[in-house]
Amino acid sequence: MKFSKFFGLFLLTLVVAMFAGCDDGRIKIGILQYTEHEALDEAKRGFIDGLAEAGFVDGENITILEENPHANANTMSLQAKKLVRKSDLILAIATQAANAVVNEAKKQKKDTPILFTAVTDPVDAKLIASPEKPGGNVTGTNDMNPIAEQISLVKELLPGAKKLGILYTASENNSAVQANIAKEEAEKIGLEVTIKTIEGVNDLQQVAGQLASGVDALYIPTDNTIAGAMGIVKDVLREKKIPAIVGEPNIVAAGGSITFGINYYRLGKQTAEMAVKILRDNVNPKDIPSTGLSEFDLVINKKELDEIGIVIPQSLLDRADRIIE
Amino acid sequence: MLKINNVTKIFNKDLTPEDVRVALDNVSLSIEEGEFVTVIGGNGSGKTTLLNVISGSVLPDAGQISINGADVTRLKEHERAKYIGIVFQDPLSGTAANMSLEENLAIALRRPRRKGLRWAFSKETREFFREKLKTLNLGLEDRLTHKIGFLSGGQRQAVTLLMATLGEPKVLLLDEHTAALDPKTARTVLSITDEIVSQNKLTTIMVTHNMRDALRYGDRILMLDNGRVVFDASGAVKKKLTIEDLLRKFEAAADIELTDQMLLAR
Amino acid sequence: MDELLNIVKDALEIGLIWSLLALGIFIAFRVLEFADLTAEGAVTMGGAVAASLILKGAPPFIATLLSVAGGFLAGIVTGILHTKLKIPAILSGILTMTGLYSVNLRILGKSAVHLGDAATIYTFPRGIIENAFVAETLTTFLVVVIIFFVLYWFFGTEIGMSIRATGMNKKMARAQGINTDIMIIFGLALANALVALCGALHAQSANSANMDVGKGTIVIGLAAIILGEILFGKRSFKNWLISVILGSVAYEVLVGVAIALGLNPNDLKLLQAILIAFILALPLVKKIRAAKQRRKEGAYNRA
Repeated sequence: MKFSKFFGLFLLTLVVAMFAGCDDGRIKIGILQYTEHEALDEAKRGFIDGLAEAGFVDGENITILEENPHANANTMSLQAKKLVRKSDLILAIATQAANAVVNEAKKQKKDTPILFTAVTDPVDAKLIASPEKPGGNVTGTNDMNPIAEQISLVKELLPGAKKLGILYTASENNSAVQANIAKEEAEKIGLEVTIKTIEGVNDLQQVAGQLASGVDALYIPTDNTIAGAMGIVKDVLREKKIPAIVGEPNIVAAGGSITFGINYYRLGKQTAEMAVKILRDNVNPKDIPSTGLSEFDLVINKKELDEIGIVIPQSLLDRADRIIE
Repeated sequence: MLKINNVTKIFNKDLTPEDVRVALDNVSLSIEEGEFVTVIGGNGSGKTTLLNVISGSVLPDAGQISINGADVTRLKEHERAKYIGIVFQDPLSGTAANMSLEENLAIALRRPRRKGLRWAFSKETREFFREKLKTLNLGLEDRLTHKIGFLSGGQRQAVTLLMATLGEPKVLLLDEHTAALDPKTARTVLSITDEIVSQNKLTTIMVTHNMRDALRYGDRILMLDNGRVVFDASGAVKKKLTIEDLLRKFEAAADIELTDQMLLAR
Repeated sequence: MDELLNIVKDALEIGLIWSLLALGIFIAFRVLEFADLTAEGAVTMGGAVAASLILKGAPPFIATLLSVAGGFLAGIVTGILHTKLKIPAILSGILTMTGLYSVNLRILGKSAVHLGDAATIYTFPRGIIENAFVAETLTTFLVVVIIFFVLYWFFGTEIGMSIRATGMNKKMARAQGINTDIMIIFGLALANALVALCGALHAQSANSANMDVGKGTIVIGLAAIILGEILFGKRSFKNWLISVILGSVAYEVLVGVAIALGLNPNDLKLLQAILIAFILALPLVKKIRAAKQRRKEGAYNRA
């Protein structure tokens, strides 16, 4: 019984070896997407469409090798190895995937151009030296939420606003970073800022209520704990009759008021532009600055703002990419 | 050397009165060194519980148990194990099936000692095991590296018996240890038991449902009923007892349940 | 042919690291017969401790040692929950694993951490051996070999045998003077120490540590063990240990083949699920086959 098993395995691997060895002469684009997620899927779609629009079509002059380990570290290592071996250019979607591909490229001593997308902080992730001069064979696009633009919405929505309250969960490092940036940006446009933190869902209502009593508006970053408990925040907003500018569109939909969000499809396309420069114009990745989006989706929760009793300036409504009624 | 003083054990204390079971009712016993005691009684007479309070798998509600002067009443099973060797009724429960014969014996050999990082085997140990296994006359001395799981029930009981004696126990407890074996194997194991006990002069308590065995082996017989010792005979008196005598004792004591096993074993 | 070589190379590089997790799970599930779910948190902890210490400048060897200590402690917790607080085995593991989530997050500081150019246990070998694959795989192989000999020696000692007896037959163990509570606690500690070691090595090989590493690893560990047992047998304890290690590599070969087939990601996930189900069912298939065989040849020859 053992012998036949070994033999079967051997045969199978031979077959694979035969097929996999085929080289069709097309440019190989490897895509490693960390896991299934709407945003990441959109980014991938945008990338592939962007390539196609520039004349690089899968099956014609390029072959796309797609891998998705569904967040499994074990599988991801193997897939990264395969892509680095076979690809002429690699797109890594999300920080984990980017790290895996860059790590593998170093081990295999390859300088294959690597593009990343949907990475929040590429410098912190040690993917690039700096956005202006990535310095290496890696560059790409980030999805850092546009805090400055989001803060500017405070004055646009409520021209008379003077005080801004910022709320986040103490143990969420990501939120703390965003809160500090938000504070800076808010003070730049002359707002007086109060920051309060919560331990968890249990003290959310109390702290949010206290904070809301003394300010004209709230800012909530992409905080996992609060995002999952927006129902509580929604009630506080209605009670205190103030709006909440939040970190991303999902939080708006869950009970927040307004935000500028990342359009991942566009982000993917922006990344494709970089790929085109590399493939068609032979530009070196180290000469392509790492960027984020310059335009964002304006998402307004009209339903909530109406409940709270705030009049939305027509200029905002006209520019809105998505209005929740 | 084994003293049981006023030991009481009640099960199901929290349930309704009908379900409360008094397994041992203020039992006191004294067993001398080297005595071979057989214990009989109907179902629920308390004979297994008696062994269990001695071995420590059950703690008594009242009373003391001492072995060689040491009070072991509150000691946990594994703490008491250095004094005790026990063979259970189930041939599978005395040995570790997936380990080899020598590994099982090695564990038994170490029973009285604290377990450390010493390697469990040596040439001397293996020779020792072989010698001991030869005394069983079952051909097991050539199968030291075989997994215990491949041995028959009778062989495993014999091995368990050997393991029980390897640790130089102060008391050997046998809990109906041949009950699950076929008559022929039971006979073999019992004669091995008798030999080992007499060779090592072990203080032994053997619970059995078989009245003939209870009379034929040992120098003292106890009969339990409803958690009490209702009959205790030793020496010459025991030698003269017949099965009919025992049956009459059973009928005399109230509420004894004569099991089929007991009746068939005449 | 190239493809085949790559699959084997990758399987060795990755499989040897994860064989440490398989060995840890082996000690819990097979030797102690304890369905321990702590591993999912312990492997994450191994990576978290190693990575955060390395980033703070600690020598990689020390960082790795401390992550092993962390896994050891995690095992002790689960052991105490079960033996002293009488919480059922599976629940004990889940409780520890759940608690470890917060602990690990605190250690990492965020959901993922990257080592960049920080010195890892593989930095030195890669400095003297050109080929990264050879350097890393050889290092891991060295670690695995050392662990193998330690385990082989340990389970032949009095304590080791007591742990094995405890797993096989608690009643007998206690009757033989073995403190089964202590043996379970120590066994689980050892198991999770190995799991954490795997996590630490993985983090240093992948150059990052994150909170997702543990997901699904127990099932993969079991699949590796069973695959190893079926392919390479478990005639003796030494044989069994080797089978677990080889089984881990064999599992990576199978995954490698699946990936090389170039399926789209969803189909690959389905294939992996089928693969694991198949592997987990193999022992049953073997049993049925053996029974049929026995019936054919033995039925009429009963002496």
